[in-house]
Amino acid sequence: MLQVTDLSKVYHNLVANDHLNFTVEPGEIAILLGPNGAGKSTAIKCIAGLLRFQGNIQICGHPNKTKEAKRCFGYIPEMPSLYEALTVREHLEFIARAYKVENWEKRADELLVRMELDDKQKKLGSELSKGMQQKVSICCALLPRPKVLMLDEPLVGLDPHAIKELKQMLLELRDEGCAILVSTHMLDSVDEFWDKALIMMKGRIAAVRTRREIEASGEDLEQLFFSITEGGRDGGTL
Amino acid sequence: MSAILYMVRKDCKNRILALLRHPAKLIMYLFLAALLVFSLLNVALAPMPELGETFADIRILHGAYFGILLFFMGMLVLNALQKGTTFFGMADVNLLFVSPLSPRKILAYGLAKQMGRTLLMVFFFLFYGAMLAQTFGIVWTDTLALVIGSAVALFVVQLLSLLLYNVTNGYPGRIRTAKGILYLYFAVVVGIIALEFMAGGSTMEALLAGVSSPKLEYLPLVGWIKAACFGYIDGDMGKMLLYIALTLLAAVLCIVVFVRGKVDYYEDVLQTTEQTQAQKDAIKKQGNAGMVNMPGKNKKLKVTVTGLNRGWGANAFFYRHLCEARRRSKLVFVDSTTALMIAINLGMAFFLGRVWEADGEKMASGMMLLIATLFSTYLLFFFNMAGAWSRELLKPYLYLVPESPFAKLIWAAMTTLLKPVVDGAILFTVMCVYLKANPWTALLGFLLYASMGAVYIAGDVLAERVIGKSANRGLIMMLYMLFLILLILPGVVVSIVLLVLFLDVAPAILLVLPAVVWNLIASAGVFYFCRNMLDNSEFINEL
Repeated sequence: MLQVTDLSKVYHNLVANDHLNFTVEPGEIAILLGPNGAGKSTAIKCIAGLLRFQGNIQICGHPNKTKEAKRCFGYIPEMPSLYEALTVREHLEFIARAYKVENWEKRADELLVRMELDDKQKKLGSELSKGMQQKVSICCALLPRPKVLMLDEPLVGLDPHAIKELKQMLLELRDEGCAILVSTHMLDSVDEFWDKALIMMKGRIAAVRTRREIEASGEDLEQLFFSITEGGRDGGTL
Repeated sequence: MSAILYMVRKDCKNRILALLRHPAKLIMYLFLAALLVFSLLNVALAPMPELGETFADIRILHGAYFGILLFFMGMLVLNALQKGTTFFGMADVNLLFVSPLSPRKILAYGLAKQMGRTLLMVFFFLFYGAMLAQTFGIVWTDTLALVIGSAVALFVVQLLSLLLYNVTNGYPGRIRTAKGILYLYFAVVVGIIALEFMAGGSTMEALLAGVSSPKLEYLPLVGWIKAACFGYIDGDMGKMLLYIALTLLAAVLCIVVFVRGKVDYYEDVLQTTEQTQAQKDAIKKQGNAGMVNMPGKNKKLKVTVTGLNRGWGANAFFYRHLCEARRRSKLVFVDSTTALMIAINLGMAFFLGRVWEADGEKMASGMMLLIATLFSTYLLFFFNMAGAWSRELLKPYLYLVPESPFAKLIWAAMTTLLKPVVDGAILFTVMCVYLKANPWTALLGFLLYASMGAVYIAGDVLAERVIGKSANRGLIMMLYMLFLILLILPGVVVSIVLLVLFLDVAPAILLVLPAVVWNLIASAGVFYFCRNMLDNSEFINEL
């Protein structure tokens, strides 16, 4: 599970994240919603241990920068960043070796087929389009079978097949007990699979709703989102 | 056109406003401007050179100036033929190219923008004004003429590059022909200098006569511009005006041929503009590492043998680097930089040897090895920036892999630490054989060179650890240089003191050894001190 307590991140004079508190339970898909510049990507990068921050982040019960935590989570960045001189399959081999994943070949084959990369295994990172790089990035993150998965705008740049397949994979991972955090500003793209929505505005979490709460109250998530992001309603409405 | 003028006006205004909103930047620019004014005043107010006062031979300035202009021309034209050239940014492509404005007006805007950029770039050459004036006994207007000359050269050569790209793009035969003409141009330059050098008896005097030969001034563009500048310096206004007219004619000809030839130049500059934008982004995000790891800068790689086949945990980074290095060069650590380093050092040894011999002296092989060591160490500074270590910091995996930060740091830096060891071993063996030098001296050169490779990475690690990535790149670079000096200084001081005191009684190798040992100890200490660096610095590739 993922537990974020009092997460704050300040760049010079800009407060990108302001005392964020939330948890993502095993078998739950949480979405970080918010307009551009709300601080979603910064929060995910802090959780992934790529940025310094104030506060406490626990992944599977371990502080996020420890080896134990890193072994637990997978991270799919918004902008894929591959090694230019490594082939697609070598990326997966590298991840398997770095993460000490035994018998990784079968899992790699399966992921490559699902992402339609099986015929591009010998292509170099520099030869791939942005969408294909994103697919390799997804395969790399999923290869070690993470218990917590963080995705930053994962559907941007993917073709329809890959979008469908990734959504299916996320549902399968949820069923296997993986805690998933997806950052997006496109409500429609995640509408069918979220369990918990965290709406961010100006670096703060302005509202948290579970699907059950929304269904019980008849509240409309889209309307809530716009009332916060356009109506100036922020903070204090958790 | 009014839309373009509006945009230019607003762009200038917003840049100035942005500067006012960032006082630190403003102060830096003001400081640079003050330095520049001080430097110019220093030259302008300096007393006129007196008769009999001795200065460096002006022919050195002739040669150096021609060489610099030639270097820029070669680089820009070759780059244009291989990858294209552009005066535009992505904003121009997305907003101007699709607008109903005339392509010719857009081109004029591009040219004007480029001219401004070039002027701004060479403006800082004025810093060297005082040094030039004091060294060669010229006055401040002469320095100004040289600076304006380099601006004009850069601009005209960029015009020529654009035209060449426009004419040759998509025609491999034309590209080959253009490259052939460029190589011929270089061959003529080398030929003129070599002939004068040989004819003059291969002395230093003959070399100076060669590099300042008036025949070089007949060569188009670079020769003409050099001739115009030195025409002014020598007070030969006729010569100056003639060569200015020739240069102007060439520039106008380039523009006319370009505009009349193919107005639809958008496609030609599109790909290069995208590439340039990606490179700008890389530099903005990654600083110096971005400069050497620019997108699209790497040559096309061939995939033959695949698979890492080794590595488990943190050392997977090392084996991955080996796999990548194997793909870039069959001999893994031995690559084009090794060859370049050997070629430069051999060339330098040959050249200096000839000059000294012609002047009736013989340069000691030990001295030659010392020069080779110092020069190679200087070059290593730049080669190191292109190493696997710098590239690794630009990817998130180094931060994400569940291994101890110390182990990741060591294994990720390993190939960059080993490369100078392999390069140094080959370089100093070759130099030792060529110079018939004492093997112990060559060994010392090798050890110094290899240990400096470690110091360069240690300095980088220390700067990253102390500041972290979110800091201003300029500040990181400044601190990096400071750390390098601090790291090297104790060893150098001890060795120099020992050399001064005991050179007569002990072999030099023993006296310089403390610097080598200190370099290794200091580097190891930095690595240990910064063992948690990867947990404390920030990955900013995507911010």
